[in-house]
Amino acid sequence: MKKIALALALALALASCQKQIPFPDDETTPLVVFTAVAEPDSTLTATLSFSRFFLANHSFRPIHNAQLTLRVGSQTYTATHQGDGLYRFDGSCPRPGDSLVLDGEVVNYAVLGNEPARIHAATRVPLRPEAQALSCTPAGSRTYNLRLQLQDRPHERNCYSLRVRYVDTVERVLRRETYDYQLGRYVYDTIVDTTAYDRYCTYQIKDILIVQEDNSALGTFIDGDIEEMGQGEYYGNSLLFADDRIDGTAHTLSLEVYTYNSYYGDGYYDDSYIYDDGNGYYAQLLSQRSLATATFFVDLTALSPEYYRYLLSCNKQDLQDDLGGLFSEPVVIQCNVQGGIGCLGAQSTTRIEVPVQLSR
Amino acid sequence: MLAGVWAVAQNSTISGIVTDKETGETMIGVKVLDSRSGKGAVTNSFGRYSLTLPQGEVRLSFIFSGYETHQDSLTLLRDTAINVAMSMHTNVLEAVVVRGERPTDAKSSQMSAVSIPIEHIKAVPVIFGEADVLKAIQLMPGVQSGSEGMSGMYVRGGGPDENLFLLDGVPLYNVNHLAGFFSAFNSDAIKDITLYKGSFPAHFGGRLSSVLDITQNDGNDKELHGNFSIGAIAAKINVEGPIIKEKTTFSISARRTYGDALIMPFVKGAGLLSDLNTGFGYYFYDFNAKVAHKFSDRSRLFLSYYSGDDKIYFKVKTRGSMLDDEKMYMKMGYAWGNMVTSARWNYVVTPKLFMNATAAYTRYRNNLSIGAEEIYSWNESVSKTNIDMYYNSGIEDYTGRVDFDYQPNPDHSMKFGTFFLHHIFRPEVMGGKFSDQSTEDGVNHLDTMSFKLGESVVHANEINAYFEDDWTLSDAIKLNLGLALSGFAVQEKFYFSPQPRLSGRMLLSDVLSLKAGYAYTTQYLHLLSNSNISLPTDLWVPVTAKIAPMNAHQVAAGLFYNWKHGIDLSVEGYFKKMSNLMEYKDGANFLGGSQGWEEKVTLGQGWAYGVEFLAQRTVGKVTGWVGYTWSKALRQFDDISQGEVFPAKYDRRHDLSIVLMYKPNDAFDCSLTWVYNTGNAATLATQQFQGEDGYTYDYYSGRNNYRMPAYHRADVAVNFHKQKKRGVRTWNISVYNLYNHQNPYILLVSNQPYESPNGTLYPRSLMQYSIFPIIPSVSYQFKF
Repeated sequence: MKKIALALALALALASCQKQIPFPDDETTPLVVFTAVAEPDSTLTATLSFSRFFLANHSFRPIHNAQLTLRVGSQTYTATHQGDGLYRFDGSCPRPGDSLVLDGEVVNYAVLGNEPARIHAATRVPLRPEAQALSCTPAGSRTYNLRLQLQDRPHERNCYSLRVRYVDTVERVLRRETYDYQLGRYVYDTIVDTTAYDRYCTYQIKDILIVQEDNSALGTFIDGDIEEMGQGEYYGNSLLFADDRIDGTAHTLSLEVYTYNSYYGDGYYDDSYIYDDGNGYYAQLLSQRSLATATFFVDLTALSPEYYRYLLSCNKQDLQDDLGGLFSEPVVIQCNVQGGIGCLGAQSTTRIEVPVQLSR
Repeated sequence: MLAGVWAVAQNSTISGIVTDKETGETMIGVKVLDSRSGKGAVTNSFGRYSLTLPQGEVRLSFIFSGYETHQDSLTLLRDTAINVAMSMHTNVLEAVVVRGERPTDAKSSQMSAVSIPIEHIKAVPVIFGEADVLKAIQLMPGVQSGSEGMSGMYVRGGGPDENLFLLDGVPLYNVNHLAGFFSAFNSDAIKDITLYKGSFPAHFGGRLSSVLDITQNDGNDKELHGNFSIGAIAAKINVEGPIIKEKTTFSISARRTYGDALIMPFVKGAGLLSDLNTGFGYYFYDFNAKVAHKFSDRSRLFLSYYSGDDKIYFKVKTRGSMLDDEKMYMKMGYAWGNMVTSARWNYVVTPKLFMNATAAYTRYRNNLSIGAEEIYSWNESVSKTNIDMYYNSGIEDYTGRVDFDYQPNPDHSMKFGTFFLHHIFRPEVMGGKFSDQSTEDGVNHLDTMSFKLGESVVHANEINAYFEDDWTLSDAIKLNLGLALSGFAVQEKFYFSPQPRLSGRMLLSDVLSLKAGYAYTTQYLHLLSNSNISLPTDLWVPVTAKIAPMNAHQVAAGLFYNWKHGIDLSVEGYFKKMSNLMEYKDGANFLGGSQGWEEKVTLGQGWAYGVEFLAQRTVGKVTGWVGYTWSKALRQFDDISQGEVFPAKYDRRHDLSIVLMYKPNDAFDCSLTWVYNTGNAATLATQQFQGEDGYTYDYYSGRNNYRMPAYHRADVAVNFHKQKKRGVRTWNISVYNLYNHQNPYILLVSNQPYESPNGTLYPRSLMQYSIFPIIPSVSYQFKF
């Protein structure tokens, strides 16, 4: 009995509760990742890279040796590699309504017996959305109610993204410092500079007809924000919605937009000294004020349905990561690339300018 | 058909109750057979039978395996009442109890059902030596368990919320304790268990996948008996006996875990080190009570009560010496559980017509309360701050039903009736109160604030009417035809569902039959479950104007063979098509509970099909069963996995259970179980990629795309019995997971390096964590 008790105690002591899970080689094999977004009258560019096994942490490897062809209607275009996995289909300028079919082959797909990897994807460039501004009214010191009318096309699933940029014109009084080579010293003068600046803004739509079930992970309303990253690039969330409940109607989109004076606070600039690279001067900021001219630029973009699903799933996965995934179902990224991962999407944008009556 | 039913003349009816001679307990499923005409009947869930026969000589046999066959001969001239008390078999080896008319009986028209004698359930080895009804049921073919050690049931590809648990005919909602490691059913309080996996008789309704019909003990009507036991985690007691001999009986059972009492000294000791009064613990309890009263041979009343709760509590209080002028008190209590009470009245209207009327109340509640108090005093002033917060959710049902059994002639056994349920759903209510009271220089100040969120209560009404006829067409062919009509009214919307049921048996020989059945079922309730395990935060919600009821069509067919030596063999195939199934959408976050839950879920469809083999031996020294299931369970949702078909979470290709029990004599018995099943499906991102925005995303090829390693485990139990002066004592020694197999419970990424078979070294690895290694346990029981 003692021996039995000893054996049991030993078994308990040695009972390890964790074990490494092995993976067969075919599960660690990287997949081809293709992403491209076609826009009307623009040359299509695409990126190709390999995915990585989830236990790895190396950087993603670009694919250099792919052969890609794109059919736009009856025309076929071949991509040329620009470097770093970027491919360009020269001459391809699809128009709204055009169908795109992509076929690709990655030769020497060296992981499993040098078999080539073949990918295939298709999409259609959507027509530009029909929309116009109805009104823009202040609803607080920095908040505006912006109303737009969207004429949705009937009998088809239309998907949209919406972004708002807020551009404010600032008058700055500057004490300019320039070097006078003839005099051989710095000279100073006072100048007045007026420039339009993108401001950080957040916006949301509380509209039960366009807050789709797909957006439920984002809450009972959809919201977005945008800020300029420099060089004309903007960072932020777009509002994504589909026309499932407004199909074929002239629907009024009511946005609540909150504007900020600057990225980091209420001041226009934190620094007292400014170096204007464009004009080549260094100046001390003496004063600044916002002129009573500002504009909302609303980009209403029609998305191909597969691109809409792709973006939506990416947003959800981002959000899930932010909240911690323990209490939520995993988000499957919605891809439309057969034989690989990623998305061949298409979009067409209508830009609406809405002058803002500044309330400050 | 009905014309034929009532056209028979010169018949008289024999009716009565069959009881156990020793205990007076009514016996369910006893075969009553007239050997002259070959006609027969079976006792119902109240032990009552009714048999209409042509007038003349009658030779009745009352047959129930493990009991001496009781025989009675008489000349039938008029309606006659015969109550029978049956004795257990004198041969102990034959006395292993099984039901008389068991679903695996080749002659029964019922199929897709399993019945495990309660003695077998108690003998099956389980974790911590705690006999568990649901874990024993999980060992039958077609029934799958959830995660390791869990009581969750997945029947023929259905979800855990698709099972109807009836305790004395009343639905029970949360059937688990301790996050699902134990079921809410105390085996000491139970007399009979039958699980229907398909071909549901029309008198059952409300769930898609299964009905687990549990009958509690009525109580011994002769003398006081009982037992108590002490196990590794819980103590149990059961007492039953007559209040008025052979007229009124009672049965009381109670069970409570005592882990909190064992750890209390350590918790208090830890608190003392920090100069605090501390308390922390968890326990669950069950309390079952039943009173049965016999007004007359025609009229009986049953009052049943069940209450079971899980409780977690925590409190901490400063002892005063830490800061004399500051005192602090915090407490937290979390309790969840069921309460069921019912009154049932049996009345024999005529010898052919039996009525049972039921009034019942069911409540499931889930209450969290958190409170804190801080008292701060300085000079002559005192400041007192109180915070009390609570979170409540639950469901209540008021049920009224009336059921009739009618046997117009030996070829027809009918059931009809109706029931009404009023549901009250309280998905979530949160509230709190904050008060700040101070006395400064003799002046009192009081500030209070309170809030309440999510007070919405949803009322819903469910009504059901049914009719079924067990129709003996010929000696070889028997049919069970039924129709249930159900309706559900919620949020000004009314759903109506006619549900046809059909099953039949064709005898191919005296011991071999072919059975087939079809059932259409509708379910009006959904369980919003937060995870794979059963948590008190799981919420029952009704269908709404937007979320339609779930429906299922199921067809099944099988061969049933009663071999010699008490061995039953069966093979059944089934196909089930389900619609309006509910799943959380990708990324839907469970936090936030019931708020906007309709937006977080999506409806889709499912299919399940499989083949089940069962070989069962119920008499002899060696009893037990071997069950094997080959099955597939698939789902398709437009909003999940890009609309592609994916495996259900508990889709398992193979599921094998072997249960062996050996009882050579009265002093010793032992049992062994071995289970093997295909690993659970899980959603695992095996690749990562860079999106067009430069961010890294996880790539899942679809929902439930990964298969966890296979699960297998062996358990053994040994019982030593000894007759003592006042009763029988039993020592039980059991070992769970005998060969210490590390079964997967959860998979997590760890920072341990992983080397793949082709030699690639990865900086991280996927680890499988198990929760139950080999676990020996000992329990003691005394039966008096």
